[in-house]
Amino acid sequence: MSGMTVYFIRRLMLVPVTFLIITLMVYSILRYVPGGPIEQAEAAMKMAAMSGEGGGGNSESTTLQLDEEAMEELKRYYALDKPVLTGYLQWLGIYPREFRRRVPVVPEKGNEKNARELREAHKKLSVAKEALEKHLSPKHFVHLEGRLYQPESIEGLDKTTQDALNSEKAQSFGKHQNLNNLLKPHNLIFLDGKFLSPIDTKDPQLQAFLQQAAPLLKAVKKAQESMHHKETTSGLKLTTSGHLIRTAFDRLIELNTRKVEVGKALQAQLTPKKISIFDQQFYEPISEEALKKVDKAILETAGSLVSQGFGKRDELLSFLRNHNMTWKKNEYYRLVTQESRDKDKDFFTSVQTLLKALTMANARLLRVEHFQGFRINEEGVIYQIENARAGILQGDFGRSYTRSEPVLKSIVSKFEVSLQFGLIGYLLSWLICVPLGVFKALRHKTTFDSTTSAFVFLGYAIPGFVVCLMLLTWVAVNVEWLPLGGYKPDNIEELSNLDAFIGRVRHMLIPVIGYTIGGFATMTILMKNSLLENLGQDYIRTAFAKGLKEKRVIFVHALRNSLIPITAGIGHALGLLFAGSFLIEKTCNIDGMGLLGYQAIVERDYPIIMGVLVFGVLIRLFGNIISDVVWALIDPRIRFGS
Amino acid sequence: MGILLNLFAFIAIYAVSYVITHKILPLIFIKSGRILGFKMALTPLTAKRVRRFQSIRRGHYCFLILSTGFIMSLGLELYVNNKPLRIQNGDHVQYPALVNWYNFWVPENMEAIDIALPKDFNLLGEGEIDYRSFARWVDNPHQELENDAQAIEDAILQDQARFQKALAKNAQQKGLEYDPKAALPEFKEKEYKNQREKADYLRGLIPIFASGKMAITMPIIPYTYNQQLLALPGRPPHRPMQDGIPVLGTDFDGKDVLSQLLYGFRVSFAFALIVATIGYLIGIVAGAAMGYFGGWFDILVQRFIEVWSSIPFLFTIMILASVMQPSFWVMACLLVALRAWLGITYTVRGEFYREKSRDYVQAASAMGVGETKIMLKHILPNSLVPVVTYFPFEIVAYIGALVSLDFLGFGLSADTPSWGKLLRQGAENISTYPHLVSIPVLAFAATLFCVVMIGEAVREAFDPKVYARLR
Repeated sequence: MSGMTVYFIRRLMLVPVTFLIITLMVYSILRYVPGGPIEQAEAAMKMAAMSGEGGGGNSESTTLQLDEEAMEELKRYYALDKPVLTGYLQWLGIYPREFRRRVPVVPEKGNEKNARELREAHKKLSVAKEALEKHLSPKHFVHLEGRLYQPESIEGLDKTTQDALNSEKAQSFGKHQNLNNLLKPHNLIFLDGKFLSPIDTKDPQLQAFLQQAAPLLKAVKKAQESMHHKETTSGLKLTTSGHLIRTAFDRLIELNTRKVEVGKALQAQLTPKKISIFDQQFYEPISEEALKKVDKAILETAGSLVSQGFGKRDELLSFLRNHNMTWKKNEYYRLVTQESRDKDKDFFTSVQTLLKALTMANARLLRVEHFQGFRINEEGVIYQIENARAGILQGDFGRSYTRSEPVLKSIVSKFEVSLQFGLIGYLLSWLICVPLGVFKALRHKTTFDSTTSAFVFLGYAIPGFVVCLMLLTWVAVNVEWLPLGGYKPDNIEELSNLDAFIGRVRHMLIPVIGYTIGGFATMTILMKNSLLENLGQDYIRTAFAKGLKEKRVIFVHALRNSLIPITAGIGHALGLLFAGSFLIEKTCNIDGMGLLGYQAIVERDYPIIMGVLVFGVLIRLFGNIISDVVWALIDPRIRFGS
Repeated sequence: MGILLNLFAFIAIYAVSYVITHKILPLIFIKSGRILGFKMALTPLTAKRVRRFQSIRRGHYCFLILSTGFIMSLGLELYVNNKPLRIQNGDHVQYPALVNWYNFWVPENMEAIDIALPKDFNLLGEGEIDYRSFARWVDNPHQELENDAQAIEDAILQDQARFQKALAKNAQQKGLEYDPKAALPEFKEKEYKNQREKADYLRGLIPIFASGKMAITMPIIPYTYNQQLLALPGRPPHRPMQDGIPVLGTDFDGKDVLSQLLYGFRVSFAFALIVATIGYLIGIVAGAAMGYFGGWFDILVQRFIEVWSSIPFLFTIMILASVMQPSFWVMACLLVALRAWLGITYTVRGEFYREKSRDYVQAASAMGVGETKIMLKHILPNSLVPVVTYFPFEIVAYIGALVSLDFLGFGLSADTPSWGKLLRQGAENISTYPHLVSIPVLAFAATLFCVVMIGEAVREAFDPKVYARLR
């Protein structure tokens, strides 16, 4: 393999390495520096809280205001809850990312037949039930699974059983099994807070009534069976609100409902006593007087952690836990002592039972969730956890925080604008620099050379954006010949073709000059020196000796060779187009890549910053390689890598 | 007349700085070098190059102007300052500007008090004395103090008239008769009483100032870059070339533009010099080692530089600056680390690589000269031509970078004087206050043009290209 091929292969192999190093570096910087999305959300909340309190308000009460769950959600969304490297790999698309996809209610479309049949079955069942209940209601009977029951008082039972039943009834949740076991020897069941006993089917007084009820019961049973059948065959189910869902979620929903119910009951017990539960422990708020007795050093440390916001929350909590305290929504809590628990024994035992029930319900739910691969939240929304690789390797640049559109879309749309300016600027610099350089070389050390040199050096000294600023002040503001900013007229759609073209040119003139100035001096001098060098070469002497005309010697022989270094700059120019445009686009208010990157930095829009970086680095890396390739192609004397 | 006098004083300071920069400092440098045992004589080749540089007049003059200007700017606190050089009350004498200057050079020692307190000067009030008023009063106590007192009284009358008019209008709206002789509300009376007391206090100062006990010497330009001139008539920004307003006007914060330009020059130039110098030191060391030792070290560092130079450095610095508000030194380090050392490393590496195979190096090596000595004494002086010729252009680049970053709002911290910040203010209000763009742009362009001229002359002198051309 020739040295050249090896050289280019090495260059190409270095591209991914460079790319990874740079992106990892910037990603880590973005992750470690404060002021990320979480802090921003917090600051926004603070601002809102401040303005809500009428501008004033003490700073302490406005910290940690953001709902902690919302914060966790934010963190998870931005992969901030993961180590930097994991986050980076997820961003790259090597490591799978967790998606929460909401499982939709089964769409009616495509399931019309099933839906209709289910609805019919549902209707039949409710009609049958209604008829039965209408028949039963005068006698206060209740039907359950094909049998009839009547309300029963437990007065007749002995005292101990009564007490046991009452106490069980009071802490009903999670204790049904217990209660029913107690009731079984007395042939009773418990339903909806009432004790029921089966009716005596032998009772002659009831025979007529029962006979009338039998077909109704049968109808209900039949309707139930047919609906059940329908549900199992179609795998679908109607919710109470009339939507279709999959039967597979039955258990999930049931367990969740139960969990929520128990949780509510627990909360109902705790709220009046102002007791909260953290980590299965009972905490009570610390009153102002009690707070004064707490060690000052602890409070100071805690206060400073609180004021540092959400980022320090974990630290704060673990610190306080060591001192039997905790913190929630701007209040300090302390562990309920054993003494006060003994004092209020009944309350705490009942709450403890509920807590256990809640834990159990939670565990069962988690098990089912895990087993089925679906999750359900408090509102009963079911979603699916999917792990998928979605990073820039898959072409997924993520979504912008601030623009609510995919990053790739914003970048591509802005890229066009920037490219337009860059290309026109580059073309223009060729059109100006090459002839200028040639003339300067031919008139080396004349007045023309030195006067133009002054301008060239001025162009080198002043950055493009300052030239733009100057032109804007002097041509756009002071004499109003050209518009002040933007890259096309606002009303371009209404204009005729010619007017639109002129408008565009007028808008683009100043920024294009700014772009051109960037490489203008270097290119002119390069052209001049390169031509001068070639004019001293032997082959020029030979050409002259052959008797060729000066024009032919210069413009055919010398110029062709002198253009080589400039042509090779094409790839570098690609990189420069990107780097230079921050300033010019900001100055001339052009909505391109540079302005996008600038705004992203100002707004801390990480996905966009990373996206812009990716494009910038890739353009630069490949630009350099293209430069070398072009150079090797047009100049056979060049040997890289040897 | 006053402006002419100031101009003359300015030229005088410039002349002194010229003598210091180009006569005294080189003398000290050479003498101290000789005392330390160096020869301190240029090699014939270098002497020839220097002579050639001096013969290129545009570059040489630019060099004289700029170097003198920079040395002069190191003493800016002494002639562009809102603090007086000397302020006296009988036996009590203070030199606030001098202390201020001292504080600039020895920043750890900020306790050195560079303000004059009113209580030491028979004045009322808190904080710093308003030196400019003080100077006016010293100049012409009877008239100026009387004028100031009168101005306060006039203001009271005006305000009273305006207030009464408002009252009358209010009464008319409610359909009531307004009696102009009725007493004013209590808070207004109180305010007026305070103001009248202030006027009386000013009149009371006349004998003190007339006694000749007070004296003050203000710097030539009695403003500084960070003082908001709230007492000026009208609302900032003030346009330049108006009576009673600093020559180049003020910016949106009411800060003097001229002093910001001058202090900004010092900051930008010092910044670029420091970045370029440190970057060159690192780059030369790295490049020399790469070129001289070659092998794995060379390849590894080459690859590293290839990776490192692909970082979009402006973008990265913007990201970093957006979160940490870098100080002068942090920003300099950032620029050195991300950019300044890269370019020269390659050049020096090439030079060392070439020179290493020359006969004189072989000869020195054969004679048993150590590697460090060969690198430092034999190769380095022969590889410095590109280093010297590129240096001025690096200065241009870093001044440009600092101005760009300040312009984008990701530059040095807010209390640092800078051209970029002025440009930013101007650019944001370009249609209303174009002078805020024009003035810094002119200063900026002139400075950088001078540097480029120097650079071009240095290149011409050190690395002349002689083109042979037929016809």
